Amino acid sequence: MSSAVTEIKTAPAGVEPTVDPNVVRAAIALRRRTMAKRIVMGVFTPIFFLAIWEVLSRVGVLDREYIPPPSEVFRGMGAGIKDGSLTEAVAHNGWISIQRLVPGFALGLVVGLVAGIAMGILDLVRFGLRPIISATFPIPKIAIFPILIIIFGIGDTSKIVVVALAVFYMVCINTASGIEYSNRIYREVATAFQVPKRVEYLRVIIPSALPSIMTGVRLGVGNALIVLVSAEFVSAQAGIGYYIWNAWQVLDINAMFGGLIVIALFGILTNWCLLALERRLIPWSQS
Amino acid sequence: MTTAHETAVPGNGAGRRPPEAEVAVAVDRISKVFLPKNNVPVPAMVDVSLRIRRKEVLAILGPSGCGKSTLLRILGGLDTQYRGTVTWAQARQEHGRLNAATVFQQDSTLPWMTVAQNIGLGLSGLRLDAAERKERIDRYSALVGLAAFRSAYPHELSGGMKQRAAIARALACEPRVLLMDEPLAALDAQTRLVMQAELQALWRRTESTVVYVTHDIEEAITLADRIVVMSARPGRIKSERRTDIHLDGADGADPVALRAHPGFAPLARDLWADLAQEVGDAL
Repeated sequence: MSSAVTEIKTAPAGVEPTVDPNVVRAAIALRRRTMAKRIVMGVFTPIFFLAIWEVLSRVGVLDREYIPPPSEVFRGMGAGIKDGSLTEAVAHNGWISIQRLVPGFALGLVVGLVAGIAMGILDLVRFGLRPIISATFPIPKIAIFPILIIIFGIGDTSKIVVVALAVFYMVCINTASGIEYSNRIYREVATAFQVPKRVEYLRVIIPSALPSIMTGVRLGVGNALIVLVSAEFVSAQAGIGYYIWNAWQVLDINAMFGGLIVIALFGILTNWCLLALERRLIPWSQS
Repeated sequence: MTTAHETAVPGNGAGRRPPEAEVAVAVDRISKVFLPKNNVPVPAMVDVSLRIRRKEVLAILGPSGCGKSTLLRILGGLDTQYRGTVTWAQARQEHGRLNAATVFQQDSTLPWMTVAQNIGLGLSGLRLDAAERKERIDRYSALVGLAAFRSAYPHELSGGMKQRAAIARALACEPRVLLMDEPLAALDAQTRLVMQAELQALWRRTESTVVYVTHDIEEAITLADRIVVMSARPGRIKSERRTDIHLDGADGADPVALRAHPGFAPLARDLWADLAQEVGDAL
């Protein structure tokens, strides 16, 4: 042994280390408190804002005729649900909107994925398409809607196309940049091991861009809802956007909020589904 | 990729022989220039020539930016823009083997694939049939001690285990030359020591020919049969030494005990003397 070592202590062998149960209990309690705080803040913040609204409306700061207090809105909606008039109208118009949303979303998703992957993989496609995409991306899609009506008529097709456009940009841009900026090492592995191109595209490049693609899809859903409701505001005889706009014109405040709540719920639901899908598709990005 | 370079060797006939018996790959007068954004060329390597012999472990030591990784990238087919020739002993790709397979410094496992799929990806260019492919995956995952983790994803593994998966992927291609680019540099010091012993045992068992790039003098002595020191940018070969001080490849061989070998310290001192000036120049 070296002379620098003056004392050697060895841990006693064969003794199981014990964990102090109080330490464990304290750690669990701390974790529970953090969770509780999170839930309380998540629930009480919206309630707090509803309370402010209630007060402002009752005191008269907000015009009660146009913006009644939430208690009144909820009571009115409750009545509409009880006699079925509200639920029936919302379900009818919601269903019509979904029939425009789903094909529009699917179309935008497919075209966006194909264009985004091509741009990400092939330099020439990227050089060719990027200027066009960058130039047209900032145009609000609803501003193109009149042109789409001229081309596709006032029926559902123009609305489906405008939704597809909104989805296309989000998916295409995020897919292309996801491929372009994914960790270089993955493609180096493919090159170093002489992996066939087809395998490289399907098993290496596209999966490496999945987190970014999923972000594009979620942004696409949000944009699709915005654009569809706007399109239905200006040009529709049915649909959730039409329903809200019509409710405003006849000053049916309950119906208006009913429509808004349906859109919000739909947004929450799809986002929740997409997050669940993401957890399945990209389990590695959680850690 | 490789065939283009082989045509540079004069007098190649059907019975192509390496320029020297037992040479796995010959590197002749390789020069490499980088062209940064400002268009002022930076010479990275000048006239580097090397013979890599079968079953030897060649370590390349050098300061940062000396081109040692670039040399490895050229051998691995990742860099094709250079002057000079790389001549492989075997002209054509033999069935079921790659000329070269690389283990990278950083984690190079693909996170969406299990350990088995990661190894399988490395085999996908070899056109093995399903049974052979499965046999290779099983054999090499067992060889690196990951038999029980074949269906685990990289994010479920430690850093050392991920690197072992990357090593298994490279070994599974049964490469003529195994290229290792500071494969242990990203691991903690203790894991590194354990892995050094494991690598030595693995190479012995697979009769590998290895080019091992490192900046760690002790690691080079511990692992290599021959150590090449490269100069600061532009990289040239500054010195070359044979050494027979290395782990004996037995399981449980101890890289720390090896440092007590009477030849270890003098060799480390000589290598450092070669390197110190270059590191100073590179600063």
